[in-house]
Amino acid sequence: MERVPILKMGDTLILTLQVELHDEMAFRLQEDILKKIYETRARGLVIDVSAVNLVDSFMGRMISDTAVMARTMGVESVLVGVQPDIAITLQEMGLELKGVHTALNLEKGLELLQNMGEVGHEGG
Amino acid sequence: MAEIKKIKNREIILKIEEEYHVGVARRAAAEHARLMGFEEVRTTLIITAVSELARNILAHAGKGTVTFRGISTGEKRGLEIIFADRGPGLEDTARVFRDGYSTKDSLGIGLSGAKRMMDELEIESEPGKGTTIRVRKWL
Repeated sequence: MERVPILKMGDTLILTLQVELHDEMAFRLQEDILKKIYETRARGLVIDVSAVNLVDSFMGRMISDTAVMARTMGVESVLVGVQPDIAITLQEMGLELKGVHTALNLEKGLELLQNMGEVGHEGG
Repeated sequence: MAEIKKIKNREIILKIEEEYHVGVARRAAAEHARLMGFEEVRTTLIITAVSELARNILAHAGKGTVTFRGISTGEKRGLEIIFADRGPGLEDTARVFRDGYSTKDSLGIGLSGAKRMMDELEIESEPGKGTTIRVRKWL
């Protein structure tokens, strides 16, 4: 079964969603991310959806749940790359993505995490 | 309202029995929407509604079908998508339009969300016989 790669950049893990997520794949991905956070002692998680053509309620909930779980472990998540049509669709659906910060793109997402890190780790 | 007619040769029926069929239905929705001339935002709305309603079939009935057809009233053209199953059906179809209504945890936005994404949504259901949901989006 195919897996979604999770990249590490400094203290941050980057997850780029590209393929269509099946239920089973999504649950495994969630577990993979949390394990990787623990193993790498990451301080932030970026979820990039710039390459996907839709975010339905299943995917939306998966993103939101993952962010909440990561937060429980002390890691903040940023969703980046939400295209205009997906933003409109999420609003029409009435789906609110709880627990996840948002930024326009990967660069801005990393910046946001960095700023949050500075706030949380004074002098660090 | 004018009579809705089917546009010739513009109908396909897909089965929804396995999880990957939801993806097949999404791709068919994208293709139909683009072929008919829907622009990007409305195509995404259609694909997302199809994803939700096809998932509902798996969650509630286990299996069913999705039919895509081009329709026309003479004045306007549109895309009609029909989700049919022979699952347990619903006692009270009005209730399912309430936001947050859910009979299964896997259900997210429900029919109210799907209705907002499409222009029209009709539901026919009989307990023990199944459910048919018809959605339309006009060009």
